[in-house]
Amino acid sequence: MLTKILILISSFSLGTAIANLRVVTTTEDLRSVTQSLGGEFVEVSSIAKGTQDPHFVEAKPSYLVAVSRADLLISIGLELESGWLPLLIRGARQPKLMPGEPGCLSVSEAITPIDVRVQADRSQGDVHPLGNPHFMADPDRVISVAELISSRLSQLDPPHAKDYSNNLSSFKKQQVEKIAHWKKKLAPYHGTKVIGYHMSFNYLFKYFGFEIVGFLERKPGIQPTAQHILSLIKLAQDQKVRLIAVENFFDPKPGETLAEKTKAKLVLMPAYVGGDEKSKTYHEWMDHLVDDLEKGLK
Amino acid sequence: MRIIVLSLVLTLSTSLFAETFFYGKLLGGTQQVDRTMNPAISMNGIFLGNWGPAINENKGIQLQELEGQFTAAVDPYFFANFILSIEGGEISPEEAWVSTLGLPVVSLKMGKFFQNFGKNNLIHTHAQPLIDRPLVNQLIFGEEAFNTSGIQADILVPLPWYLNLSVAGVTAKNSDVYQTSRDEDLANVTRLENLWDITDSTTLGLAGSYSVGNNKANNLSHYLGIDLTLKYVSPKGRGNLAIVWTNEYIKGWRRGYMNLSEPEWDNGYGIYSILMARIHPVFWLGGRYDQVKLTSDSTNSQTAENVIIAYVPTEFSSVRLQSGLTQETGQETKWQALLQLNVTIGSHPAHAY
Repeated sequence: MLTKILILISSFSLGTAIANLRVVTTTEDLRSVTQSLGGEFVEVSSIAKGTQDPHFVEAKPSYLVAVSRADLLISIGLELESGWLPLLIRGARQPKLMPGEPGCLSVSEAITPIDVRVQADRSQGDVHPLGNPHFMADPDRVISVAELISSRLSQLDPPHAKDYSNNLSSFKKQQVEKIAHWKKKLAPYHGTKVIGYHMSFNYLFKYFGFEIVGFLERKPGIQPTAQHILSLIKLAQDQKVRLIAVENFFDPKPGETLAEKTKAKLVLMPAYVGGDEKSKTYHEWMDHLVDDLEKGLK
Repeated sequence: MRIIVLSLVLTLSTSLFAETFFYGKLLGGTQQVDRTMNPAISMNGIFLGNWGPAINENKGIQLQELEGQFTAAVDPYFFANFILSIEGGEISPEEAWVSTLGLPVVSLKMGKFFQNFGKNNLIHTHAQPLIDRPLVNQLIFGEEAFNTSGIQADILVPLPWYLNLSVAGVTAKNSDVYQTSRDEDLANVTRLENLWDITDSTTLGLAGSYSVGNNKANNLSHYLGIDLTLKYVSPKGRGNLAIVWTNEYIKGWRRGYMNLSEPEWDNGYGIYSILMARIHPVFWLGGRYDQVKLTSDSTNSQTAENVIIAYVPTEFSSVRLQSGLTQETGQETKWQALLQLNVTIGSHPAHAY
C-alpha cells in the first residue's frame, strides 16, 4: 500500500507526461510559441490564463509548485510580471531558475521595445519605463523571440538541438507566410485612426500602419472617467477615428459609450492566446486579431 | 567670490551631466547598471484618524507609521530585506533578515522577522485587511505582534499541492510573547501550510502553527494556531470580483503566570473571521468578527464586530473607513471609528498570496 502511495505521489511530483524539458511560461502566447518550438520534447504550462491581465496575476502557491518543478521559466520581462513573478521565483527554491541562470529566460532580451519612457513616475499611471511589454502581437518581434527560445531549449537539451532548430525553421516559415497574408488583409486600412483601451495592441497597430490617437484608460492602469470619455468623444470626432479596440477582459461599457457617440466601431479583441475559444494557438490568435480589425473597418 | 562662483558652476554642471548621462543611458548604459544594483527602496506612510471609547490611546488624527523597506539580492547566494519602522517618534528595525537563494527545496532565513505563526501575524500594518489587527493577535501576541530574532528553515514538500513546512528557533528574550529577560531562553515556531486549487479561481488554505518556549515565570508557554482561508478571484481581467474569507484560532497556555507577583492570564484563546469582497474595481467591502477569552483568576471575555469600506484606486494607495463595536465582560459596549490613508512610494515588493 505504501509503495502504491509513493508511486502515486511521484507521478504527481514528476509530472505525468514524459518530456525532456518542463517549461513554465508567464503568458499563454509564450506557452503557445514555446510548444511549437519544443514539440514533443517539452511540456509547457502557462501561469497567466489568456483571459487574465498579466499585470495583476495573484502569486498563488500552486504556481510556485509548478515553477519549482520546471527546467525553464520563460517570462516577457520589461516589468510586465514584476508584481508577482519575483515571489514565485524565490518561493520555488530552485537555484537553476534564478535570474541570470540558463533556466530563467526573459524574452524581452530579444527585442527593441517601443513606448520607452525616459522619465517616469507613478503620476503617469502604471507605466513601464523600460518599454511596452505587449510585443507578442508584433509578428516580426515574435520571430526574434522564437529564435531566443529555440536557442535556450537547445542549450538545456543538447541531444534535441537539431529538432528544436527544425521546429524553429517551420515556425519562421509559417510566420513569414502569415505575415504576408495579414499585411494583404489590412493594407487597405493603412493610416486608420484608432483608440485603444490599454496599450496592449500598440505593437500590432504600429506594425500594420494604424495610428493610435488615444486610450480609454485615463493613464495606463487607471480607470476611465466620464470626463475623460467626453474628451475622447471630441477627439474621435475631430480626428475621424474609425475603430475602438478594447481587450476583451476589460469592461466594454466605456468603449460602448464612445462608439455610440461617434462614428467609430467597437471591437472586443482577445489580448492573449487563450483569450477566447478561437485563439488557442499563437497563429489562431493573430488570425483572430487581424480578422477583428478587418471586420471592424469594412 | 571667485571660488563660490566656480563651486556653483561645477556643482550645476556636474548635476546636469549626471542627469543627462543617467537618462541618456537608461536603456543599458553603465548608469542603469549602477541603479539596478541599488536595492528596491520603498516608503510606506500610514495616516490614521480614530475616535470612540473603544480606542485606548492616541485618539484623533495622527501619523500611524512610516515604514521604509530595502530589499535586494546580496549576491547569488543571499537575499536581504531590511524594514525600518518610524512610529511615535522612534525608529526601530521592524524586520531585518537575510535568506538563502542558492539552496534547492529549502530556504534558510536569519535575522529579526515576524514569526511564521498563523495567518495574520505575518501581515504588516499597511497590508492588514482591516485597519486594526484582530483582537486575538493584539491580546495574545501583543501590540508588536510575534516578532523576534531567530533562524527559520522553510521546506517546500514535494507533493502535488502546496505544502510548506516552516521550522524556526527564535530568541524568547524581549519578545511580547514569551516576555523573558534571560539571554539563553529560546522558543520554537513551527508551521505547516497547505494550499489547494479548488478551481482556477478558488483556493483553500489550511495551516497549523505551534510554538513553545521559556517564559518569564521560568516555565513553558505553548501557543497553538489553526487558520483556514477560502479565496476566490475572478479569472477575467483586472479588478473584477474577489472574495476572501479568513478564519483563525489561536490558543495560548502560559505556565506559571498565576504565580507571578502580579498574576496575568495563563490560559486564553481567541478566534476571528474576516470576510472581504472586491465589489468594484476600486472598492472593497468587508467585516470582521472577534472573540477572545483570557483566564487568570477569573475569565475576561471580549467580542467585537467591525465593518470596513476601502477605496483602492491603485495598489499604491488606499483610503479606508472602519467602524465597530466591542463588548467586554462587565463593561458597556464601546464603539470605534477609524479612517486611514495608506500610501506607498518607490519600489515596494509584492505581497504574498
